[in-house]
Amino acid sequence: MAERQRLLPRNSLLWLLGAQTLAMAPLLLELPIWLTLVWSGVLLWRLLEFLGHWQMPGGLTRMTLVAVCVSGLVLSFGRFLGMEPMVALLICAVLLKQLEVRQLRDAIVLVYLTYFLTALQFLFSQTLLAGVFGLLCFCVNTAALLAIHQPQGHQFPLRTLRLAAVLLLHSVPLMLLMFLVMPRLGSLWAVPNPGHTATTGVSDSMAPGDFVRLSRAGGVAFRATFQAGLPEREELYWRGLVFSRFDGRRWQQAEAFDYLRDGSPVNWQSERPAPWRRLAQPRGRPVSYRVVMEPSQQPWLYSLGLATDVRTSASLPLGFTRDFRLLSAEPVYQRLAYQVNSALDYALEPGFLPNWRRRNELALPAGFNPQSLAQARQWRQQWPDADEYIAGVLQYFRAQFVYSLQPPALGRDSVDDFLWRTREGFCEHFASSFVVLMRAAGIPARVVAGYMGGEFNELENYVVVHQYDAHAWAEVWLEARGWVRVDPTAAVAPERVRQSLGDSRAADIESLVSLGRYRHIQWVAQLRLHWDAIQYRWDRAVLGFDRNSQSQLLERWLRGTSPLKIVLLVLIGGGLALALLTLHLWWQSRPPRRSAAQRFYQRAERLLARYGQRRAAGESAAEFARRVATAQPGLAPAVERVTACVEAMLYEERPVSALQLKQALAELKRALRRSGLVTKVLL
Amino acid sequence: MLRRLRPVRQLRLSRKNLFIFPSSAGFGYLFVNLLLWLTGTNYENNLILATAFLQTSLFVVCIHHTFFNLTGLTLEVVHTGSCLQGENAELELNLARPSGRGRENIQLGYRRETLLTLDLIEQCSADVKLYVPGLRRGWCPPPRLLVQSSFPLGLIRCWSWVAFDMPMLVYPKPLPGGDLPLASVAQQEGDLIAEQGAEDFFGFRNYVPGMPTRHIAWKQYARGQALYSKEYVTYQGQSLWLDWDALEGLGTEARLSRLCYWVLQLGTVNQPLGLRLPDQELAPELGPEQQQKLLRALALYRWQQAAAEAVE
Repeated sequence: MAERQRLLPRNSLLWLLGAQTLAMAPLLLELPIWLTLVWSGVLLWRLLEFLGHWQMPGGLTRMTLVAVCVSGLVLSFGRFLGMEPMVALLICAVLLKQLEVRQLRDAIVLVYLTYFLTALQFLFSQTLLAGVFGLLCFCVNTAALLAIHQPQGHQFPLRTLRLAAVLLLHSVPLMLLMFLVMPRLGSLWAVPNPGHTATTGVSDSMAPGDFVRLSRAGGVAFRATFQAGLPEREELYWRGLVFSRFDGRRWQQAEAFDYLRDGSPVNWQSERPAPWRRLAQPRGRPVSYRVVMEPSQQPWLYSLGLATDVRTSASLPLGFTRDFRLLSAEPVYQRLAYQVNSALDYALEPGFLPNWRRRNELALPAGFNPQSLAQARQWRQQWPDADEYIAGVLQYFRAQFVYSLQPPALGRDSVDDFLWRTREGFCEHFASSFVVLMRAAGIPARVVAGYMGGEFNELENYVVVHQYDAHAWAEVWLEARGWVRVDPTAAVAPERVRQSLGDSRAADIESLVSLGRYRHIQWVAQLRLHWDAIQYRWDRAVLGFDRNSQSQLLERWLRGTSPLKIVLLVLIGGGLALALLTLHLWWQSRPPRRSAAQRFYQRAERLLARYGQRRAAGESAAEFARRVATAQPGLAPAVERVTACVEAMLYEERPVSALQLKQALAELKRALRRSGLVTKVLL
Repeated sequence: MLRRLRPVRQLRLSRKNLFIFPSSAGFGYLFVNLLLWLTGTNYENNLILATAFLQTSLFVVCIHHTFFNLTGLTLEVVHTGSCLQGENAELELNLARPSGRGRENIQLGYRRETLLTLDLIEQCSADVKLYVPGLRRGWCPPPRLLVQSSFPLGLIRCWSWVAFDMPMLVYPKPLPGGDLPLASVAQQEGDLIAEQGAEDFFGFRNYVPGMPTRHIAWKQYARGQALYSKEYVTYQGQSLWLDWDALEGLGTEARLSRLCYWVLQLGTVNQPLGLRLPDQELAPELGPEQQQKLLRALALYRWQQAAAEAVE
């Protein structure tokens, strides 16, 4: 089409560059640094060219840039399937296109690509701030699209921005309606997920120092809302992983073949309950809660006590593991919400532990920590009863040990070093050495990793669990009660259980710029709670709005989700939104109310037209009066009087009384009737 | 559909005469929109989905904005000029908007390739001069004028084809050549005496070797015509009659074209010029008004028949 070959309005280039810079900024943070450098180069070149200092790049420069981009992509990623390489490829396409924008069509392609980039930033972050920033990008990009269609209007940047904002405001109601009603189809095909993003939270193994690092990671692990009341803080042990294998330094999960005799170690929701599920006996009333987990890039989910039931609306299946915790089929790449029922009072594998299980839970690596093993055997002789032995060991911890966020390094025999030399440690040191002491004394024991406690936000009634709440504790198997939770850290530092680490040691674990560090100041603490509550609400209402919430909402609004009702909702809602918009546009472009002079003159004109005297386009009232007077001398006095009235009002701004106007019209009527009967045109 | 739009002098654009449809850029936009929706659905990412929905509703909103950018505009033809057949006549338009919102990026024209773009942002009306090809002899209605706009985002195109009922006067296409179709009566009105060295240019005569070379009409020769000699005469009797009958053997249009050519050629000669057509006679007179009168007579000579034939 011809209009597409038009050149770009000059200033609209600035809009294009601005919109792209905004949309790319969050993506460039996630991608290799050379992309940022190339983009700055392109930006600079375009600006210099815009100012008239430089020329558009020649073919050679562009070829070089293509080579740089291709080699950069290959060197950085080495593959093209994956989310980051694809986004990087798209950005390269935008960069190269930017260097040859001359015509309207190129600019339109760029704007469309920028719309796409604006949306892609949500693959990396979906926080409320990201949402607001995305909306800003969308608005500026729309302004850019608007500016390239404004031959003169683009010279007033504020006007362009305002028009774009008006367009967006007009679009919002319809967008909300679509958001609420459009069916969510779920993933249509497998898509690459963010690859490089570092895993966060508790990892699949535990070595000394891991949890100390985790306590400084910052950020939220998950949030949980309890349907009934909040359990006691001492009950908030969020189980995530169970470590049964120990190699002398590092704790790891049991392998699948450790549970070979019981069949598959994972029992997915879609399958029939495995026979080993009966080994867990919930007691008392279950606690029901909803967990919204932040992306951790790892498959374990967190739950309290013994999870008996779990549901999610996400498409990935969830399951129970043989060591009675929750697992997702895929790593949690995106925020995941699930609903859990847990028994806080329960018995796990009580009464009898088969020999092969007992072997696994008692295994210790040969040749490590000899001093600890000897001491354990000696104590066991002193306290033959398991409960007594446990109490004795805890007493030893309580009396001799210090809880510290900066524990000294440990050597090869880490448990020996810790128990008999440094005596200063973090939760993982206590859990690890406690389990070793148990196993050495013939009591089956294992390490459990997860989170402890959380911060209660009374504004929205939920518990927010931070990364610094990460915790490791122990489970020991007692014949009568099965697996029992023992937290050796609590014996050393009871405040760690009663109070969040964030509250007690904010200065150690929060970065200098975070609100959390200054939470001892009351208004900062309030602000922090409010901000987290807003984010939580955003997570629940916007990010968590899935197929289930959609059908629940429609059910509540329409009392039933028959297709007819939904169609009616769309028609009425959409129609209303568009009607309001139309009304607004009409109101802005409605013809102005005519002044008294104009109305008066129009009536006179209508009268004259009825007798065949029409004012030509562009003819002034005086000219018209002269023409009428020449054609119909009999009308002259009446027409002159009318004209005089109009001119007085319009040009001299002299008020003329309504009576005078009435008389003038009446005189005109009389004159017309007298003279014009012959020439009257029947309309 | 176009039949609904009767020729008028003044037209207010409204939903009765505006057409609206997505432009090709609009379809591209919808394609990007679909890709976004697929991305959002596959990643089950609510914010990407929301962006896609915002884009869709922006498209719908654009339909209204584009429509309201044109509706309410008044187009009024102020003046139409005249032209020779095959050339362009001037058409003066006034484009006015109601007060309130400014209107932007309005395009006017007769061909999509050469559209005139104008804005009515601060001012409320603008005068526009357009050039209309005169296709047929006689009173020729201007072709339908394309008024279009794809403001604000270029996604939707809204347009109308406006027919104005102020016809243009199109003169016959001048066709050079042939002898000067002078009426035989010319001799009776006064004698022409060809004089060597006379002052007034009279016309052309086929060149015969031996004529003075300084009178050769090189200009005409250069245009690929035969070699003529300019004749300079002194007039007696002073009146020239261009005569239809002097062009025997030619068709109506061909005769009109020749006559037109000579009327234009002789317009500069300080000599009363008359025209004899089968059904009318225009007495010789002097001046540019006379030339206009003659051209008008030529343009309107049985023009309805000619138009009817052209249509057939």
